[in-house]
Formats: sequence, structure tokens, C-alpha cells
Amino acid sequence: MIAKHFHPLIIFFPLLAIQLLIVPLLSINSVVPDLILILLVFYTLQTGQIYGTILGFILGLFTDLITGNILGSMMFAKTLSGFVAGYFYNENKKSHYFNSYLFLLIVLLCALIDSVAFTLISSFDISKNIIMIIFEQGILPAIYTAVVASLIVFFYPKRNFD
Amino acid sequence: MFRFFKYFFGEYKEYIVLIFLLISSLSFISVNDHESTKNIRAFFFGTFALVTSFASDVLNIGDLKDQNQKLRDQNARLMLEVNRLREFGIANEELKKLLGVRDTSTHSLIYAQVISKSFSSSQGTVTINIGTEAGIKPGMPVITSEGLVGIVENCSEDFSIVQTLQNMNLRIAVLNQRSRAHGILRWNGEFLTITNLPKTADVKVGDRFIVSELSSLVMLPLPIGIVTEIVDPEKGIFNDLIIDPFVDFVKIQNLFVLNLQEREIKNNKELNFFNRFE
Repeated sequence: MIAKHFHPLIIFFPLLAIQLLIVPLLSINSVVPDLILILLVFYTLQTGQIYGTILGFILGLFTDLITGNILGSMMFAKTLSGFVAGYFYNENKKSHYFNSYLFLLIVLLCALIDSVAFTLISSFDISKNIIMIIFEQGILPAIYTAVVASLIVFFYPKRNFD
Repeated sequence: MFRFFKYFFGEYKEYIVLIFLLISSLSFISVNDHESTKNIRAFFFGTFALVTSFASDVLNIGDLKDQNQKLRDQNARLMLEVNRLREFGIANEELKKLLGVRDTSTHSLIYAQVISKSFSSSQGTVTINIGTEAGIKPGMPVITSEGLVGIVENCSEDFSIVQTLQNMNLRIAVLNQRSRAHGILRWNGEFLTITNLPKTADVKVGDRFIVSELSSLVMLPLPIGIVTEIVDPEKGIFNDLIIDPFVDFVKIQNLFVLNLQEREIKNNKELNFFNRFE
């Protein structure tokens, strides 16, 4: 049971390698999907809000340490996203989420919060138009992340034998 | 009292955990420049880069043919350029002898390959496959044949993180090669810009900017980019410029780290963010 809680950490490192090596090749005008966020939302919806908040903190910490971001910026954004994703946790609706496009909306919302929080913490420039910042660095990556998350909906088994 | 706290924690534990972790995240921002933080970071990205370097090599095999072709083209162009510069060099040496000036510049290039790139549009970094063992130190400039890529930020034994020009934390003093007007180059999350340039400064679209001799980070006149737009030239008392960099940061794969041999006394006296002799 406890080992189950470490599953996302085991998946995280290969996923981060894919994020850093392969995902830049799929960038559209420097906009890339955030695979780490999809992982975070997926496990938060399965386990709960406190778990998601703490998981977001840990995944953000490792991402900051490995990628050279300002230490704390991704931690802040991912903690907040994990918390928000946790609001949608429902023991009885787990498989329903992953089999419907509701999952994409949750990913879209969390990705939006993640991108905006990260931008405001790490690169807020008072001389720039805040609406444009939110659009370019928040909405566009969030939409791309939600599109990639649709793969989970597509490949998630239709019958759950839990 | 105890029962109140127990009730309070039970009722609001999600919010308490959230606030505690958010405050912890923000407090981490203040320890970014601590030596211990840098060491922990060097350990983590060094270990991770060791694994990803294998995957990176495999991914790059497909590009080798294309890269070879490009390098052959570049080689031919550089050969012509070298011949032209050799002529200038001979003339320069003769003029220096006449003036009694000695050439003191000594620097070598260390070849490196990009292992991974950050996915943040505001904090551009790349991880390269050489570190302190190859003589790399924080603060060394990183270039391609097109121009300046960035500055080495952190090193482990075998790997280094480079802050590219597309990183909001990196600012570099630059110079207009035509009019000799100085400015500070920075990344605003969207464009490379030179801000707060006086209206009186002589700048035109198409002007070429290089690193200024006033820069304490990079001491060589390395190419940066050209002016593509002067933002609102009619408004205010300052000009903001948008610069199109010579380096394509999306495609960079092969780099060189400039192993600058500086004078220690100069480095210690200047207000230098990266003190290379520490």
C-alpha cells in the first residue's frame, strides 16, 4: 500500500527525461506540453487532495533541481496545481474521470494555474501586458498539455478491475 | 485548547498543508544562491544528466548526416573567412608593432554537446556534457559559430547547466557595432530586448549588436543579434529594441565553452557576479 504512493516518483524520472529530450522536438512556437503535470493530476485524482499537494511539492522540487529553474518556482506552481486537482478527487468517480473528457478539463484547469503561477513567480515583468503573459505562457501551454492528456483518456482501460 | 487545535487541524488540514508547502516553496527562492544549494543542484542535475546523455546520444545519431553536411558547408565558409581575417591579422600585427601594443588575449575553446533543454519559456537553460573535470567553471561564456549562447551557471564533475540568453536572470552589456551605443540585453519571456536606451542613441533597424567591452561576464565582442524593431519610437524618453538573435536556441546541439584566461586581479576588483577565482 505504501509502495503505491511511490509509483509517481518512479515514473517521474523517465518522464522528465522525455520532457527534456523529446518534448522540445514537438514544440509549437516554443510552446510545449507539461507531462509532469499530467502525471501529477492523474495520481491526485486517484489518491486525494493532501497527497496531490505534497506530490506536487516533491515533483516541483526535483524538476527545479534538475532543470536549473529558480529553486522554488516550479515547487510553488506544482503544489498549487496538485491542490486544485485534489478538489476533483472522488473515490467513486476515479475510473469515470479517466474514461471521459472531464479529465482533460481538469488537466486544462490545473495546467493553466500551473503555468500562470510559474510565470508570475519566475518571470513577472511589470512592463508587460498581464493578459498577454497569461495567454502566451499560460493558456497556450495549458491547451497543448490537455491535448496530450487526451492520450490517457484514449488508452485508459474502459473496464476497471480495481 | 488541545481539542480546539485538533479540531482545527482535522477540519482544515488540506489548507494547512497547502499554506505550509507554499511558504516552504517561496522560502526556497531566497536560498537559490547559497553554496549548499548549488552543490545539491550540481549533484542532482549531474546524476540525471549522466542517464539522459545516453538517450541523447541515441537520439542524435539520426541527425549526424545532416549535421555533417552543415559542418562541411560551414567549414568552407569559415576557410574563406579565415583567409580574409589572416590578411587583416598580419596588417594588425604590423600596426601593433608600430604602436608598441602587446596582444594579451589568450582563450581556448572546449567542445560540448547539449544533453537536454529546459521546457520553461522564461528560464532558458541547457545541460551540456562537460563539467569541472574538463576545466569548466561557472561564468564561462558558451558560444556557437553564430554567436553567444549564454553563460555557464552551475557545474558538476561531468556536466554543466548553461543559462541561455533566453533566461530572464541573465543580463549582458551590449554594444551597437555601427554607432557604438551601449545597452543592457535581457530576455522578457518573449523577445530579446534592449531597454531604456536613450532616444538620442543612434540605432536603426538592422543594426548589429555585439557584447560590449564593458561586460564583466563576457570579455569578447561576441555577436548577439540584429535589431528587428524599435518599440514605440515616438513615445517616452527611452527606446526599447527587439533583437533577433543570431543563435537559434531551439536547434542548438553543438557548442563551445570559451576557456577565458583572465587576470585574477582584474576579476577580483570588478563587481563580478561569477567570480571565477573563488
